[in-house]
Amino acid sequence: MSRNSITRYVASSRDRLTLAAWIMMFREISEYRELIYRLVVRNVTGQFRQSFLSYLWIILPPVATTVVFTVLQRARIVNITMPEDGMPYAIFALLGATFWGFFTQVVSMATNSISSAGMLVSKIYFPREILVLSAVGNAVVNLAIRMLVVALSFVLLGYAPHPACVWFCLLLIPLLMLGVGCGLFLAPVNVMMNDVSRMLEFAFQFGMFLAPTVYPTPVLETVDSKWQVALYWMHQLNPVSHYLYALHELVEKGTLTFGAGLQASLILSVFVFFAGWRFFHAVEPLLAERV
Amino acid sequence: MNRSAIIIDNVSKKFARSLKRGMIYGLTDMAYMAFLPGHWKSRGYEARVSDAAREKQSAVGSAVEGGNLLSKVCDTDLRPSEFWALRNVSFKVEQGETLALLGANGAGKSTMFSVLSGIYAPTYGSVSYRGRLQALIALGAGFHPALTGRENLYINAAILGMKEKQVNAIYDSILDFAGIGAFIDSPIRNYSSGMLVRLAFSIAIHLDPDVLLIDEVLAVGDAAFQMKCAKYTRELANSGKTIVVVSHNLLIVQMMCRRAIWLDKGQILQQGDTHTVTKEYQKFMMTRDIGKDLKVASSTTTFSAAILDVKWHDAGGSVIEKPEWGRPCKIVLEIEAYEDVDCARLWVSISAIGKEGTVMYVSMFDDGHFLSLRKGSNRVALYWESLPLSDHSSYQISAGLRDWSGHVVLSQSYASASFDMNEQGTGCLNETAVDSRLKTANPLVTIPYRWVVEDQAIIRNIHEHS
Repeated sequence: MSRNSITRYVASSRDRLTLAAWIMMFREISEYRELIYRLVVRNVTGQFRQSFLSYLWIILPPVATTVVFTVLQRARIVNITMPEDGMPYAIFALLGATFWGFFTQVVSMATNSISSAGMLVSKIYFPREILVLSAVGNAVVNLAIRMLVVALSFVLLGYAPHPACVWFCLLLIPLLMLGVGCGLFLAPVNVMMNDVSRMLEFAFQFGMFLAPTVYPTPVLETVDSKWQVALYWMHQLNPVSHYLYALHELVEKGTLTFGAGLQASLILSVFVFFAGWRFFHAVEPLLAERV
Repeated sequence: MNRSAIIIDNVSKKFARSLKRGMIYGLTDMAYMAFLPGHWKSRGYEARVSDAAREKQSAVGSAVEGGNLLSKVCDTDLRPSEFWALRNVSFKVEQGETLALLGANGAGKSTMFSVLSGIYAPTYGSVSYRGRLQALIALGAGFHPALTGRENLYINAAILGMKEKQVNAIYDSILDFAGIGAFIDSPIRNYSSGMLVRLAFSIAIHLDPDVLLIDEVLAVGDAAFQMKCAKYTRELANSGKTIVVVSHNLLIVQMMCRRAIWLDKGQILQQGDTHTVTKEYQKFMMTRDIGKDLKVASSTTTFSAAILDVKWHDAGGSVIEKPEWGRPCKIVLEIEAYEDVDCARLWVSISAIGKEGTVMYVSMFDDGHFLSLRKGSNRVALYWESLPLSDHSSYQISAGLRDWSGHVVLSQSYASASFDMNEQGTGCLNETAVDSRLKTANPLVTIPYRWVVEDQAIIRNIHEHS
């Protein structure tokens, strides 16, 4: 910022969905990218400074879920039958837990990012998106560590995924956008009322069982009850499911079918991201006085 | 040519008192903003959208012409439980000026700072400033307790808008100013609060701001660090930086600022040169709150302490009748405390009988000391290396005790017997008590002195106390 530049905060200035406003939003994020980096490093390195297991805490949740459900499945307590030519159940559950966990972590960390940085928000101005993005960065780092566990379990279980499965990394981008978009919508609301983050916690905890995470979606041709039909549609209407389907397909066969479900999910993801960002940007001035 | 560095144009800001209502208003405002595109706005949008737009506003002054100078907010704009934290506040700060904001708690000073630094969007009106602004309310923003001082330094600097390269360039200078030595590599949770503030303050001032907002932060750290900060601030002011100070310490205000603005209930009550405004402000505060206290204290005569005796001693401790010219001497005060008193403040004045004004006025209010008295007899002395009182007069010593704020009188004022510097002095007794209100003592010279504890009492400096 130069010596003569003038900063002006006006109550009455308006910017609509103009291109200029979008350019400004993008430029701001790029101006502050070092801060995002610093905050991510701070959050990642700071969180386990005073713990023995440190980074094990990141990989523990999906691993625990996988172990528990594999035991339950093997013991036939829960009756999950995998398709004949599919991956082993343990791999299926680990993939589901890892990527569902990633999505929920992105949303909940983004949602909590503003309200948990109250001191920062009420003391100093910088684009608040930075806080959301740095929280998301933390979730991405967590995912990277968890992917190592996935790779390790492929080796340990002797299951060779199709090499084309690395292409799923590209699909992570729209999945991330979906999560960030939700977070950008929810974070300001969470600042006003803390109910949001509790609600989310609740929703994700049970939502896991209503998504194709630890059991495959019932196949419509072979369903034997209307409950299974209901479950089928619940999975179909969840945009995250379609990313998981794509993942499963890539791991097993190395192919990717752009069905209507995945297409809709992709479009929705991009839309939610930009709409969420715009919403966040519009209500940003209200945040500082309420945190 | 003088250019305005800050222009506050008819700024109003409202808040809600009730938390639940605030929540509801927040959500409604949010819905308005999100779903009625007419309400969409960005902070500082006009200034930020492009450099071209910045150039158009070549002078901050244009803000005022284009502003809504005449529109006054009224209470009908308020929803239930809302209030105006700032109400139609307009002023300018010229480049290189040091301005003080005065006002009781809740007058809107901090809100003003928050609006200026862009944290709160004004409800109406606009603020603009030129160059880089740094608010010293944001000390230590983003510090993580488990990370080392070094790591936190970089994070804090990044939050304040600095690139890594720039930080590297001034890194040594920051450490040097903070003076925390090897602690820089240990987690900041091990820091003392003073060290934390030193580090934070050091980072903040090294950002080379053009406009600096200081909110009572000079009252942190130990005495040496405070001196350093005060010196630094003065240097900044001299080098043409624009500074706005919020302080309840009128002494600091008078020392640093030429001009002062007195805010009350979100509105400007008075502005002008510091001396006039602080005087009015002090008078107002006295009559509003303290006036009552004074009356209560003096009518019930339940004082906490009494000054029993005031005597001249020479350096060896023997009682003398009057200070000897060119020799060390001290005034020894015998204070009987009826209870333990923490944070009392003592003033001593010497006046010439039959003459206007005060010859000598020494007060803990001015030098920042506190006195702790133990129940029973205490003895405090005021020591001079030399006290050259002219020998053509009779003098009288007065002394009194007040609480730390100066608002509560702790003892009846003591008036000594007069002593005559003239050899053939009469030495007549004069027991009339002086007016118990603080005199406006404006001695023309102050001879170096120091407070000495003779018995029981404890003297601390204001800085150690906080």
